[in-house]
Amino acid sequence: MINLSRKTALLCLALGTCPFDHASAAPAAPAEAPVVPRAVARRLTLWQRPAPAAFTARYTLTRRSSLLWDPLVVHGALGFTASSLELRDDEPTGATTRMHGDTFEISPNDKALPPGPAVQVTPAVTWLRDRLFALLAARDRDQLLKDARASIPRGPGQQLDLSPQRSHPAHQVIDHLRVRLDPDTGAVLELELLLVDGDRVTLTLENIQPAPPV
Amino acid sequence: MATHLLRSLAPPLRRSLPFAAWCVAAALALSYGPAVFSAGTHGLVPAEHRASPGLFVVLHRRSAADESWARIADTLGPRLSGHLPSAPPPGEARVWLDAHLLYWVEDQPALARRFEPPALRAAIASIHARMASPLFSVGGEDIRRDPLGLADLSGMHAPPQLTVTSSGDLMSADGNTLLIQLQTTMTPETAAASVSAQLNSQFTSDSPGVADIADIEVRAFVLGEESSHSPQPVRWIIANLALLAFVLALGLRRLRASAAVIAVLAAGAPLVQFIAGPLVLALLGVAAALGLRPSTRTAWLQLSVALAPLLLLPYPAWQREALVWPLATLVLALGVGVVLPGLQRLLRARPPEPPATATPLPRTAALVACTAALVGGVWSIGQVPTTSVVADTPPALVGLRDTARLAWMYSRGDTPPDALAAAARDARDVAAVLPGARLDGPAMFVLDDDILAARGASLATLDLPGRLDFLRAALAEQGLRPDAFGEFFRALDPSHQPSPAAALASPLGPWLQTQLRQDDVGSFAVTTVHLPDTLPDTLPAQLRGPAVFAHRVQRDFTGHLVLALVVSAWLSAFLTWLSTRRLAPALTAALVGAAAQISALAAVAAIHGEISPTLLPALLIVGATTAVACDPAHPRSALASACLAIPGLVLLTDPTWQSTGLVLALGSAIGGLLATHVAPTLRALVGPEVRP
Repeated sequence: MINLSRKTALLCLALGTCPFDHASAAPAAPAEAPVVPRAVARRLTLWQRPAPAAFTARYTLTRRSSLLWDPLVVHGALGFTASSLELRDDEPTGATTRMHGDTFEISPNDKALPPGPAVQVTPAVTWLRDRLFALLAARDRDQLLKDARASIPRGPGQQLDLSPQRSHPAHQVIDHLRVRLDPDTGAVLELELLLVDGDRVTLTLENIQPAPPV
Repeated sequence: MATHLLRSLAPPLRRSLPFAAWCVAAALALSYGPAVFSAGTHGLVPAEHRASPGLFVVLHRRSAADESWARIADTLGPRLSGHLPSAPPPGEARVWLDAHLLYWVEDQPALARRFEPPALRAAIASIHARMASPLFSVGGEDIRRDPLGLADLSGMHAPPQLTVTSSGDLMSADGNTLLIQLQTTMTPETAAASVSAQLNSQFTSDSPGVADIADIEVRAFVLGEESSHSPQPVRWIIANLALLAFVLALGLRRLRASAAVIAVLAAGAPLVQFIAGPLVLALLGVAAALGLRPSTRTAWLQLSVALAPLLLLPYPAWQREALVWPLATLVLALGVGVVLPGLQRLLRARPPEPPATATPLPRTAALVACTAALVGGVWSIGQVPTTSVVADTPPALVGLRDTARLAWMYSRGDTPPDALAAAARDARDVAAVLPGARLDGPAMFVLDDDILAARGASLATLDLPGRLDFLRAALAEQGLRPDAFGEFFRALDPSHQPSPAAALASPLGPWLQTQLRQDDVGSFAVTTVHLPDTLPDTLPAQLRGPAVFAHRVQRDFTGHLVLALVVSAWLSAFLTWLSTRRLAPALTAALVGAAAQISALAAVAAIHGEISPTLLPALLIVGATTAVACDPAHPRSALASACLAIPGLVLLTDPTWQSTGLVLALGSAIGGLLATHVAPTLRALVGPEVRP
């Protein structure tokens, strides 16, 4: 056993360690809260409320598209929970849309029809999903404004426009999502999605009811 | 005259001459070239598999304004020298792909089924139903250009995972990271500084209001390889010498003798800077161990050929080291054999005490120890994987370009259209052999003549004009406007073929030209292949790149290892036999050397969980030093083993060379023990002792 004096031990440590780099941890960049105009903040305050965590509603969906001679109008039932959203058209010629996490599905109600291509999880789809879940949950303002620009459109009513940020890939597909709020309760009454290719989809909600406990 | 002059000098001055000359040589070596010791694993990849010179520049937005960031993404790339668009402009690519929808479909019978009248009617009814979803046409489906979903039938044209900017660069899914590829020989640091300067000058002058360019982080990475040099080895050498000084002073208890060894080694380090950094360390350790007492020439000869087996293996860097290692050994042999004794006399250093005589193990114990080391080592090595010779993808590139899985195909032709046709053929072959591989490049936009002819003939059997009339009627039935699908109807003209010549003449042509290279032989097109996670044993011969070589190494490394160990053992046996002319010492040296190598390797496998080609030189050095230590006339002391192990301890501080460090440290310790306790017994077992 070698007995080292204190000085020798210190010398040994110094000799053995001085030539090496000691990694320095870079300080983390401080998180910055998004700054929103005052008018948008007021609209968000109206929207933000203790909404039910799960609810059902009736909806009317109208699609105006250059593909169609006339606007397509369907009615159906919407079911929303914190993790899933389902829109089921009443008519057999319609479709059912399901969003659950990163799973998206559009299936024709008529099972004899081909299901069509699977919905790709593109930035535009995830951007729209995040907006829909945030809007209907009516709680998390940061989640609503993440990767989005918010503005107040001209015209009557309590409206709010949400657009993908210019650099976000969703900007190539989605122009904006316009939200109409109930002036008294702040509840989401109507969503209007304008796509870059000109399609305009309006989703009007009625008869919103908390979902019965499972 | 010179001899007379030397004799006229005072004895102390005369004795100091060799050391003075040694120092002058070291100073000259330092002034000739800075002591930058090459390190890194990049050199293990043969030239044919190295990535072409290039850089990935990654710009990450921290808090830059949206408008300026979008403008940077669309316009910065073309302003940079050597800009290489990773993909064609999205608009042109989309138009070209959609205009030749029928030709991309490999499964022509499936295509025919899609055009059956009932299938057409059902497809349109399905579109009408799905239009009632808010997600319709948001999720990548472009119903105007492809209402029948024909793109789904084409496996090679999967949707891109990244968004392509107007300038052909890549944007991450969250829109915050931009990837620009540059064809340049600049270092990453220079390229990053150049991009930052371009950002500042261009955008700040264009828009004085844009003050947030500093909020964009710019980093650059060499394409598929690590940085070629590192200043780290200089620090390793300082640490190595410091530890050697400490251990020698402690072990010898002779301050001047230790100082003499360290002085000679410190001056000798710049003289051997032509070998790789870790090998410089190992050589200094070897020289310190051999410098403790006078050594035989055979010992130095045995060490000088230690790396010769590397000449048989396909690692260019190790082949080079095998060639220059004897020279480096010779230099330090001169230092230790000629300069050191003079300096020790000058310093009046007392010679070290002879090492204590070790007690050899009994026969059974020696045999068990040797067999256990060999069998256990061989078994445990087979249980661990081989580390890839390719660096992992830098975290900043994860999700953008998985550089550790990138490969390239270089398809040649006499003319640019020929090269494009060859690229299309190669891409088809590779896609067939490697399901799951993602291919990028001009090959994805053209078809070769054979395929064009075959698909054209197949399309001719479809009654396309009649089916199109039916499709128009079906659209109108569902309330859809047939005119809105004009692009699709135009794409159904089979006379428009995606031939290389047509592509070069199309709006896609300028981008295709950037992907074509010229050399003395002709033109060649480059296709990038993103290898899938699971690979077959043999990859297509067309593939090139560090990842391809890494895959080959993972398959063949055990064979390389066995070859190196066998040749190393044979060399040890042969050189020992040359000096002793007896079989017993030769076989003992080979056996004990191999046992030390394999047990060190097994220890590394157990501790590190994997083995890699980077540890081959260290393994061979361990074998050679252990074989040298088996010489009964020059038994190795514990201090000599410590000197050999110190470079390994120093290398443990670097993640790249940890396994090498472990081999050196553990191999020296194990080799020392085996040589002193097992070798004498084995020698007696193999052949009777002949007393002079």
